[in-house]
Amino acid sequence: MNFKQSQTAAYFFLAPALSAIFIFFFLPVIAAFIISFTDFDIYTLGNFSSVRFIGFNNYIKLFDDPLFYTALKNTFYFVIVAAPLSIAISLGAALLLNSKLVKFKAIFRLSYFIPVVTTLVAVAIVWRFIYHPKFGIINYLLSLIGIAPIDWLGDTTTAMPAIILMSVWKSFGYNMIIFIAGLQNIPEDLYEAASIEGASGWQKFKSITLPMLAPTTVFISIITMIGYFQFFAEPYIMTQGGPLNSTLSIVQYMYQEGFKWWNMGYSASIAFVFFFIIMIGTLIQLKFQKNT
Amino acid sequence: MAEVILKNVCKIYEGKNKVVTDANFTVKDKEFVVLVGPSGCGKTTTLRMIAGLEEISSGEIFIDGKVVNALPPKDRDIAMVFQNYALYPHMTVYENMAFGLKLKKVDKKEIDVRVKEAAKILSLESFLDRKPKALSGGQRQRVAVGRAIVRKPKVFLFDEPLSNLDAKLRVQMRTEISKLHKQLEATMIYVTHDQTEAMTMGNKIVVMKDGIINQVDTPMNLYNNPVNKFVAGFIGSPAMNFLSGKIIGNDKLSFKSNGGSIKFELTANQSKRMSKYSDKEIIIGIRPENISIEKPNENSFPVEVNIEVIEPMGNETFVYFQLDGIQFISRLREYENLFSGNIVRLFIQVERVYFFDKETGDNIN
Repeated sequence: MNFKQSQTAAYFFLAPALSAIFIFFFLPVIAAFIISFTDFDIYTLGNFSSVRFIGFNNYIKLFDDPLFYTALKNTFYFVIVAAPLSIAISLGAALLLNSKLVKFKAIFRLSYFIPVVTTLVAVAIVWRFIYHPKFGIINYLLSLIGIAPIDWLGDTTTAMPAIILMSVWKSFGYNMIIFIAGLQNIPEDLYEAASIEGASGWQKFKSITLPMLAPTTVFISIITMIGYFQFFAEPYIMTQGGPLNSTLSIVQYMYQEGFKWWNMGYSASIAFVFFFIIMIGTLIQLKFQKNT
Repeated sequence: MAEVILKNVCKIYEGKNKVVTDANFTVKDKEFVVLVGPSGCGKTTTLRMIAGLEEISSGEIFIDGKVVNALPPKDRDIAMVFQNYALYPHMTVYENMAFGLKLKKVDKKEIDVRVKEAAKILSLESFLDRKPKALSGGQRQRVAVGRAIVRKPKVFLFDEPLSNLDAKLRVQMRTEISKLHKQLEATMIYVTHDQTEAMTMGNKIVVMKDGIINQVDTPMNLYNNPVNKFVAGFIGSPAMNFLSGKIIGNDKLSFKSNGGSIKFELTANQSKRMSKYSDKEIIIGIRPENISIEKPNENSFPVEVNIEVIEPMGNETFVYFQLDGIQFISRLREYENLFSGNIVRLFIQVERVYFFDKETGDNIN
């Protein structure tokens, strides 16, 4: 068999997988990209011939839309606060669970991981009760030390922090498991060599643990960032983007435009602008990884 | 530099698994001591206890006259070279060697001088900017040694440092470490499972088995006067041949193997030593190099053997055969005309035969 024949054979074997990827991934993406240059709306669904190509109009409108900027700002607020917080907490938990001092590790690992596998909608509903101004446990506990009830999800200043807290609680277990795997990959003799050379616990953490964990940390930062950029269910269930759009996220805005107001073309343009934002974020982090 | 003394040192895991039992030995100042034994014999644990990486269950360890039982590794003034090198992968060779000194807050200029000096000794000067992954196994090993040298410790500890290297490099590094010992005039404790390494490098060898020190002696004494069957079998390559049999006679004693393939008269000296063992089962030991094809002297006895395998090494030939159904090996000087299947007559020197108590395995002297 010559090279060309073997290449044909390779494509033949790859065909089933490639066609599935093409039909279910590339085709919808291409379709959405085309739709973003049209005025695809509810009338189009009734009469497909009414769709018109409007060039970059959706994109131009988007950059003039104050609600888009509010959603963008909220999304960045969420990502910039929640992602580092989640990474720090998961690293801390991983370090504790990896240390020789802690007992019943399996129980802790399991209990920290349970929120990850629990349905987000169910978790969001439970947390809505926790934050409830009248019956919530948080306000009850605060009342014990004489603090007046706070309307956590109803106040523009506390709504986003409340959602961040819940999201971090829900997701840190996942990163923690990856960090534990990363920690277990660090050879014990590096720590022993450092002990002999006179390194303190902090020096070992700074000079061995952190640099050795760098690839894991970059990976976790990227997946956490991408995941958090797409946050949707939390505000959708808990605040519906309110109060006063203070928790409206980009994905939620895209959802509203697409499925509430049926402005599919406009919604698709939001998706593509958002795609570029996430891509730039990822490229920055990959660049950072190469430098470490 | 300093003296290291172990007094009744024990290591017990979880209250029951005794890994090291009553270890007693002294490493004198500037001495190169090798701990040797099969895997699981407790040699690495012993070294780690000296380093402070393992707690001591009982007993005392002295370094430079001070009890160090409760001292953390960093306060023992030791340096250790690990089996897997334990180099920090994210640091360059220079940073790896300088790390310990930086922690000690040594002046930067002084660090530079010491690192470059060590790099010169170990021919690492051109690799200082490289990271460990860009080095070969032998170079990594040298960096690990360099990291120990720069700290100028009282005692150097080596934990099987050559076991990850290929055979040729191992021989080369062996000589380099021996040279380094002379050059630095340092106290060194070296762990290995390879008896050749132990024999060639150590001023003194500690032979361990199942957590117990069997013999502490110079290499030649271990070879010539092993205290028991284990040491006799462990030191020397190829290993000593053993055969069970009985001492017979009253005045002039003889040995007869159980299968009857060996029978010889003991020398007067041996008869005197073995008088207690008359009519008792014992084990004899014969080193492969004490079996020869030419009769070495009058005091030797012949055995007819059927050669099973021949291993020509160039300067010598290993010949495998069976006596009483037990595999024997002899080391002959350059025999080119021997082939497997040949029946030949070999000679064993009587005065070079070792006698071991069947029960205790002790060498009967």
